[in-house]
Formats: sequence, structure tokens, C-alpha cells
Amino acid sequence: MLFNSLTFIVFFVIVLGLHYTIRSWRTQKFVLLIASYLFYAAWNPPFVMLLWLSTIVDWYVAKALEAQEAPAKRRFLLTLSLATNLGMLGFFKYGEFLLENFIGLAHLAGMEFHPALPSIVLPVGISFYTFQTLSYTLDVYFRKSKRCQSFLDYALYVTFFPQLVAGPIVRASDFLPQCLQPKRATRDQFGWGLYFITLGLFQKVVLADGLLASTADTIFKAKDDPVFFLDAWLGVFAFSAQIFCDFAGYSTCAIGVALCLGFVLPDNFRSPYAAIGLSDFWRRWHITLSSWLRDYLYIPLGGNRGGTARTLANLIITMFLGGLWHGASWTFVVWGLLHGFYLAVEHLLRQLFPSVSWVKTGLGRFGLSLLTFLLVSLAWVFFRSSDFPTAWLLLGSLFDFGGNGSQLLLTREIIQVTLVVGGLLATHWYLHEKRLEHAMQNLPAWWVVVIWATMLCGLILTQGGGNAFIYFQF
Amino acid sequence: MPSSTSSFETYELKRIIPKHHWMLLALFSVVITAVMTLGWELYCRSLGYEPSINDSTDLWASRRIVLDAEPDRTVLIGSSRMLFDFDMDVYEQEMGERPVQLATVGTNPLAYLEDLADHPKFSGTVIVGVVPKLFMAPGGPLVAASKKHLDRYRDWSPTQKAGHYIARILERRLAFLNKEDLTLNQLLLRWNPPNREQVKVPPTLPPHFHTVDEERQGGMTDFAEKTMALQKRIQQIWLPLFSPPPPNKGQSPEEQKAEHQKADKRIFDRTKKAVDKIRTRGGKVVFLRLPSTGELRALENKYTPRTQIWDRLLTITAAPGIHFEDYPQLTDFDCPEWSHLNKKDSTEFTRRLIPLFKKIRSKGRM
Repeated sequence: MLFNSLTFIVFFVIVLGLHYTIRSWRTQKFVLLIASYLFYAAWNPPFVMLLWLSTIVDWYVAKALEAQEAPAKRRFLLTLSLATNLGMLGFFKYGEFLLENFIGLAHLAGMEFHPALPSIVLPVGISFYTFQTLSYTLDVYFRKSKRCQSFLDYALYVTFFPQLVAGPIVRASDFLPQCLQPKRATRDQFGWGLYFITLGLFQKVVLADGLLASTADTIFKAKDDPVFFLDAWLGVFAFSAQIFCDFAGYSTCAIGVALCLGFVLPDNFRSPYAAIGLSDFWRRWHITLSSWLRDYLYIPLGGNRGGTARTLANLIITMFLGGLWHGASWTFVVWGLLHGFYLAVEHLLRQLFPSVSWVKTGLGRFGLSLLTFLLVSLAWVFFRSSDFPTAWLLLGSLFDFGGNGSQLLLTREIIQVTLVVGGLLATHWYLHEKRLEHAMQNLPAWWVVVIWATMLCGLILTQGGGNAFIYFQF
Repeated sequence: MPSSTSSFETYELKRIIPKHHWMLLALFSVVITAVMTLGWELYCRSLGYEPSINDSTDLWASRRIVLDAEPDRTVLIGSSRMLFDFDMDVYEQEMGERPVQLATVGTNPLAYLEDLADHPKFSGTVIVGVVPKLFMAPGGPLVAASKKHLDRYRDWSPTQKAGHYIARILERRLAFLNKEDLTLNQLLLRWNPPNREQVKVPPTLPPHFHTVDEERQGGMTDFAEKTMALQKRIQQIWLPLFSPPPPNKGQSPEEQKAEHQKADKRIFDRTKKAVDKIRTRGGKVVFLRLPSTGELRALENKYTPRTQIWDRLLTITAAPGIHFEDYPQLTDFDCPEWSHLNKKDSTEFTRRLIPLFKKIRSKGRM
């Protein structure tokens, strides 16, 4: 079920009605669990069984892990959980990719191998919930946290519908304690949750789908001829803004929906396009994934504890896998590696020039922020392109200042993208050292009403709905 | 990914609520939005809009699933001419069966024909509206349009079905929920500041052109039928659309011609295969060439002459066909914008088609 659909409005009203009329906390949680399964099944009912499989395996593995002391048996249990979760992910997400690459290698080796390519449907959100359940088992394995005592609470943790399909990826230690006491949003919490939902939908429906998507599509679909450099840059910036508004929009809705039910979910974005440096960017972009990768991959690999060369290698390995997590395609791998390379270069520069003063000035910070945005946008070229020829063609167009290439964008689209991207960058810069909550608190109430009503009118006028969020495919 | 583990903090699980009376603000915002929406609704009605059903992929899917339950029904496929010019009420009265309308605007219908051919139980009659230029399109938006509709039907999830039924409840009551004309994007399309010389401006149909009902009975609006300025604008959109595209870069006219001939052959082969497959299950296929007039008809006759397209189609598939030019009673209609009949004429046109259909049926070919 999509947040930007009429079905969700009806569904959410019913869930809220039940949540606030039922008195027993246990029954409330049960209702939320059933609602979460319905929310997921509304896409493709059979895939609920995968959720059940992941839930049951990790529940029993964690239970056994807590009772087991023998290291070998503990390792076996962990392997069982990893094999189940990563096996599911591997089959559904990477099965075709692996087969295609195997066929390619076989052809390179001169072997004729033509198996029928399976048509595997990717279950929505599988990358998100497998990482979430894995974090629980890993925490119990490393004795960072105790196993959950209530199956209902644990199942709700895995399945909680606001963040089930596209994050934020929540840790068990953050969610399970919230299941212990009855949850009812206060009046203001509920209202603030509704504001979040409106803001998230506005980002997705009006900005991402309504004002940015068609421009990005036009430029990234130009496969045969180079594109005029101005159009190419605008197309890339349009996608940078689109993917932020799309994904941050989903996270914002998820936080708002959870808040209306009395639950707190973590922030997933904090003005990432005002980041100063790539390291800072990953503190602000998809925060719950980057912290997951840090805690369960980068640190176990040795983090920054093994000298410069090892740190750089760890960064690149982590980002390589981060890229692969996003999609089963070499373009995603290159996107991840490019970010790994950026981080490695930044790490080296910090070591070589530890006390450069100009980077701390306002102008220096602003300049670095723009440079970061440019580098991130260039990396999006690989993320968005359907194949390498498209990516190379577009990269070539971006730096061909000789006036060659097709002019594809209408004046209206140029104005539209410039205003939206400019507005987004200005907003991120304004909020780069403060939270949205503080900025909203400082606004007079009538201004809040004007902004809120404008967003609602924008949603009604756009009549969006039905367009899936980009991150659902991951 | 932060490169320093020491300076990086795990996300904070804390949610600050800004100090405002949020429910009161929500209430004010909703009231203002409701007032603005009401104003917008009244304004749209003052422009002549009435509540109408959107001709969405969901609506198409809702008609396509009818065939899964009743695979012996008569089906109409084609493009906008089939949608506008065919009166399903008349057909039902005269032929005793209500057809399922699956024609869509700006579409190559071959994919629909192949979908019916692949249906394991379909044994009804397919009436295929043929607009030669569209029917012979080898790819591009005309083919993408039919794929988009079929994909929706094939992947139609429970939540999308539910959303469609809720949307219909609202669309029946609110005029501004018109996705063809009144969304933010459609409104922005009407703003056209001067473009750079090289930029190709895609043609867009002006507002107020057509409507459909819940069974996808389509038709030209009264406004389009009566407004000459609108008709002239639409006529100018057809002319480049029905002219041949320039040759690809580095391609000679001969090479382009050879490429088109190959593409035509592929389409004829696919059509024959689909028709044969439908026939093996007892189904029937009838081709129908609906009227066009004015410069558009001259353009169609010049670039897609009937000997090359229509006659070959009937010969290759051995299927019956009705070409409006072959029957005097079908030629004296005027298409206001050269491509579609108005509602009144579509009723009369369908009435005049009936004896021809009955004749085909009497021969067991329908």
C-alpha cells in the first residue's frame, strides 16, 4: 500500500480508529500487527510468507543464541539466520543478476550457455526488513542486547507498517522498549505527526513526481545523442532533487504515521544537500542505513583501527556493498564505489591537511557544500542510468561546453527545475545546523497554517497518487 | 559512510514537538484548504467541467478483468477513433450483446490483440479499430501506451483495485478531479514561454476534448464539438503526427523505406499469428476502419494508402473488415477535427454499421 494513495487514507483512518478505541495494549499491538500484514499483503499477498519466514527464523535463532554458550553452536545459529535472510535477499534480488553475469563470463570463456532467464518478482521492501531482522540477531549474537521476550512485540518490530517497506531501518533496541508501555499520541504529537505526513506527501507527490520526474526522465532517456550541457546538468540536478524528495518524503510520512500512533521512529535525512564533505553527507543521507553499514560491516571489518590503507579499503568495501544493496546492477556498484572513492580521498585530505583554516569560514563551508552537492549529483548519474552507455553519454554531455548536443528541455521545465532545486538547496542550507522542529517552533502560528494549507492545496491540485516510491525497488 | 567511527553518533531516537497548538493549526489548515478546494471546484464548474470519470489505466484494467469472467464477450480494441466513434448502446440494442470497450487514446492496439490471443479461454469477437499510422507503429509512445495499460491489468494489486473504486466515488462528485485537464502538471503545460529554437515541443491535446463513462464509452465533449477554435488547434496537432518522421541520422530515404517495410512485415506477421490463435479457440476478429476527413484523410491516404495497409491486412489475416470508404452510407459524416465523430454522429454511424456486422455474422465470421 502506498502512502500516496486513497486506499492508505481509508486504511489509516480505520487503524487509528481501532488503535484509539481499544483499551488493552496487547490487543492494540495485535491490531497493529494484523494491519501491518494487510498493508504488506495489499501489494502481493503471497509475499507475506517471506515476512513470516524471516520473523520466525530470527525469533528462534535469537532465542537459541541467548541460551547457547558454545561458540561453535552460536556461530552455527548466526550462520542459519544469515543464510536465511541473505539467501532470501540473494534469490529474489540478485538471482537474475548473478545468472546474467555467469552467462557473460561463460561467453567470455568461449562457452555457449543459454539458460532460460527466470522472471523473479522482487518482494517490496525485502532489503529493508531483512537488514532490520539481521540487526536484531547480530545484536543478540554479539550480546549487545538481550532477546525480546514477547513474540508479539518482536513480530510487530519486524512488520510495523509505517517503516516496513522503505525504512527508516529501526534497531530492535530502539523499537522494542516502545512496546512495553501503552502508546497513545498526545494531542500535539498527533498534530505534529499529521504535519509530517503532509510534508512527506508534498515532497513525494508535488515535488518529486509533479515537478521533477519528467525532466529527469527526459534527460536520462536520451540514449542515442549527446545532450546540450545545460539540459544535462538540469536533468542531473532534477534527479538529485527528485530522489531526495521521493525517499525523504517516504521517511517523513513513516515518521508522521508512527507518531500519530504514539511511536517514535528515527530521522533518516537531515538536510543532506547542505553537507560539507562526503563523510558529512552520509551522516545526513539515509542515516539509518549508513549507521547499519557502519555498525555491522565497517566496524567489524576493522573500521579506522588498522591504519590508513586498511581504513581506505574498509570504506571502499563498505560502500561497494552499500551500492549493491541498492540494486542488482553494476551501475549501482559503480555508484557505491564512487562514494567509497570520494570518502577515501576525503579521509586522505583530512590527514594531509588537518588544520586548513579557510574551510572553517562561512564562504569556505558554503563552497565545500556546493562541491559536495556536485560530487553527489555526478554519482547519481550512475545510480539513475539504466546502463553504462547512457551514463557515459550523459557524463560526456555534462562536460561538453562547446554547445553540442540536443536541447531537450522546454523553457518551462528549465524554470521549474531551477526554482525547485534552488529552493531545496536554500532550505537545506538554512536547516543544515538546525532541526526542522526548531525552525517550525520559531515560526509564528499563522505562518505554519499558511505553509500547511499550501501543501494540502498542492496535493489536491496535483492529484498525484499511485506512483511508487523509487526506493521500493531496493 | 563516515570514515571516523569515533566522531559518528548513532541516530538519535528523540522527537521534539515544536511548541504550537498542533491540532488547532491542523484544523485551521484543513478549513482553509476546504475553502480553497470549494472555490477551485466552483471555478472549474464555471469553466464548463462536470464530474467525470478519469480514463485511467485502472479503469481500463477494471474492464479488462471482465473478460476473465466472461471470455466469450465481444471486445472493442483500437485507438481513440474506436473509443469515440462506437456507440455501445446501439450495438447492444441491435446485436443483443454489450461489448467491452478496451480501445485507448493514442495507442497501437496490436498488443491488446495479442493479449486476447494469449488468453487461455477467450472465444469472443474482437472488433479492431484500425488507424493505419497507429496500427503500423513499430515502437515508441504508441506501443508504450498499450503496454502501460496491460501492465496495470497484469500487476493490478489489491490496493490499486481498492484505490480505483474509492477514486470513482470521488470522481462522480467532484469536477476538479479531472486528470486530463486539471492537475497541476496539466495546468503547467498550458504555460508555454518561448522555447529555444532547437527544442522540439511535444504536441499536447487541448483541454475539454473527450470524456468516458464507467464502462469506457468515450466521446467528444459538447464543448469540443461546438468550439471551432479548439477544433482548429486539434487539427494542427494531427498534421505532424500523421506525417512520416524524418529519416534517422545518417540514413538514406531508401534505407528508411526498407526499414519501414521490414517493420510492416513484422507487424503483419504478429497480427496474423494473433488472429489465427483467437480463431483456434472459436473466437472471431473483424477489422474496422473508422472515418477521418479533411486534410488528415488526404494525409492518411498519401502516407498509409489502403493498398499497402488495409488491403494487405485483410488478405494476410483472411479476416473480414469494414472500411468506411467502401460504403456510401458511412462516408457522409464530418469529423469536427478531422479524426473523430461527435457523439450524435457516432450513434448514427454505429447504427449504420449494424447491418454490415449482421451480414458478417450471418456468414459465421463474427
